Amino acid sequence: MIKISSITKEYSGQIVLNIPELFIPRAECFGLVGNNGAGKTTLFRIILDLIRPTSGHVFIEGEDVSATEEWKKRVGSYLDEHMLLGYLTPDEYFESLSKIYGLSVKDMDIHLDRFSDLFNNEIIGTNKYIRDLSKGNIKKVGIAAAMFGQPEVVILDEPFENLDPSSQNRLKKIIGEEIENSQTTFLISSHDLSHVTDICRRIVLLEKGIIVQDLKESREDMIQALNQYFDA
Amino acid sequence: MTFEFIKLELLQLSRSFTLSRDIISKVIVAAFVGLLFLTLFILSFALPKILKQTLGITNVLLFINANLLFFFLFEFMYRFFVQKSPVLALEKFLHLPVPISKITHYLLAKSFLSPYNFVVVACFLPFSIVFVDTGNPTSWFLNLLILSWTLHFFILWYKQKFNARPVYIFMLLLVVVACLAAQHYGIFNAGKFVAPFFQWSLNSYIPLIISCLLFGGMYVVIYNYYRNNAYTEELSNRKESKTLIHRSLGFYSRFGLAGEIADLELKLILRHKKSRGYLILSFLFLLYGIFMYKNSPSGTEAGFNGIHVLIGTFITGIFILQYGQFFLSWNSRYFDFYLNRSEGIDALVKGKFLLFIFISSICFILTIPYAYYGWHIVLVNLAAFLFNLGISIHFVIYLALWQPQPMDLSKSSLFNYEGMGIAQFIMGIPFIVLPVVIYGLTSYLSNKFLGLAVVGLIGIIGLIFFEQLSNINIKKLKKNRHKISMTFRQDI
Repeated sequence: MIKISSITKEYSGQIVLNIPELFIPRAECFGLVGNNGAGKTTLFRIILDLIRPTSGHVFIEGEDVSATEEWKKRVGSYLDEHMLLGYLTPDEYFESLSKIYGLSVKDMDIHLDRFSDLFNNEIIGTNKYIRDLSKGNIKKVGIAAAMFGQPEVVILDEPFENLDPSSQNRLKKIIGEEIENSQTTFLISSHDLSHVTDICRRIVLLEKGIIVQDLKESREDMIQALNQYFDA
Repeated sequence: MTFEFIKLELLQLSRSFTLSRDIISKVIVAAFVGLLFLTLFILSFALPKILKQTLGITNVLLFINANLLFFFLFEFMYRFFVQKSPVLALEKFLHLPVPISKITHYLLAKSFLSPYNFVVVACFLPFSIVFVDTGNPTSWFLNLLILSWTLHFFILWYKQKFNARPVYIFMLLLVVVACLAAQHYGIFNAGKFVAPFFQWSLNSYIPLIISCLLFGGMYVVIYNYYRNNAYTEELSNRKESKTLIHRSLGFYSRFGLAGEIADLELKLILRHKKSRGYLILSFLFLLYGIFMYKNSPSGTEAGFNGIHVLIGTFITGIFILQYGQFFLSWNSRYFDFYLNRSEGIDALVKGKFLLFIFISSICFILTIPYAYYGWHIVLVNLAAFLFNLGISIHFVIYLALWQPQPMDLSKSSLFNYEGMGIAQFIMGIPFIVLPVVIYGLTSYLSNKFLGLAVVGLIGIIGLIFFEQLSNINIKKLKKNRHKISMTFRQDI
């Protein structure tokens, strides 16, 4: 699904990301963990062609992300609140998105229906601009936006951050269902080891831009390995 | 999608926290621009007559064609300084399946709706209709219009490509001056050199076709440049972060927390391109005096008049006028930082005052050499300087506290280039005119030196009551602090 080949990113001569090779197959839930500054968000931005890598290429189903734009229809993402239009209400924003994705009103309602538990009546139908929502609710809008138009890949940066515990569990349920029913590939970065190990069968550990561990073991083994790393 | 973009932009505009401020400043600017266009339009009708009477030109069209080069060089200059690059928050669309090509076309089309693209219309349309009687006036006029539009895209490209570095514009300035000088001394007439091109357009469509090709070519160049740089990360930002600018003013520490904030503010100014621009600008404008003070009005016994007061106010106070208009906007990202400190707001305002006084004083000291043109110039500047510090400073800030806009300093990416707009200059006019009015009234009633003394005295009184006057603004700021800090958080 996603193939990364010899990606490096330098900032003023300092290498912040160096990934010789990484392959993420379809329907995988790919977890990305690492301490602050490990390069998690940078990797996501490069995958999404939001920043230019110093060298290397990213391919999504064989398409070079920097050369074409077709893949954008199949890849949804939410990295930070700058991706949203804060001066719209959530309803208006979703409406704009459905125009961009070419969805009918009915399709949109079906899509948003999946999030009704997560939204908890605080998003749809409220006359509040996105910029005035709480951080958690802004995140919910972004996550729902990222899953617009049945994407094959969904990239989420710290999706559990700022969410209350019940919302965190509801989100995990949604992600699980998506993988199960639609074979969606998820790329998720998180600092919350228990959540990320709950939903992801593969965890990659970044340290200073380099992959130091690529874990595909059972949940218990992964937790043990991660705890060992982060305790040190 | 284009329709969607327009709708979104209108929504954004109507939901801005600073709506009424935006509208009023837009109306003022529009009125000013409209007036200017009207003047140009009328002048265009009178152009042949003016040229005949003042310069004794008989073949007006030939004369104009020979000087069009300078018209376009001048257009290049003002476009360089005041034409803004189009703005769109790119990061909100890049990850969506909206073709970047569409975004780019939209941006470029939007940038096209600028008054500068219609200067040629105001200047030459009436002229071409009424006075161009030989040949084809349509082809002649359209040729000029398309050339001006080519310049529009050229400037966008030039500014982005060279990162608006003033070195390049100075080089161009040098070329212009050299051309003018060569023409003046009869060595080489660059204007005459290109005149045949315009002359030709009277008889043939070929020059117009060439201009259209140039226009199309320029569009392709700017389009490719924008398209290939459509990344959320700015290329030039990286270069900048390499060299940290460490400059501290030790003596500020005597003023306690306020001094500390003045010091921080100076760091803020030096470390961001936009604010640095204002600082450089205020020193550049000091040179303005060379042109203006040299020609002292003849027949006045004192050797100065209202114009001198105007210039004095301008060059000693431009930093206050320009930088002060965004009084809090500079700190919008960190406003909560000041709210959280005890006495933080007081210190913020006083710190900024300290900085204004410091920079304004430097400007004043640097104008002292203008004594070369007579000591009265120093007196004029002193009076204007005192007035700026005593009175104007509080007025500017009072207005700036009305719906301050948030400003993102860290973000100056390609699609977010915020140039120095013409609006800031126009909004500064009342503060420059005020001392002139006071001077004019008192000198009309008595004499010029008394007029100057009154301006200076009012300034000194303002300085004596500095504490009280600045408390008005501090109080206003404290009263509105919740609203302001909410406004500053709007920008996501």
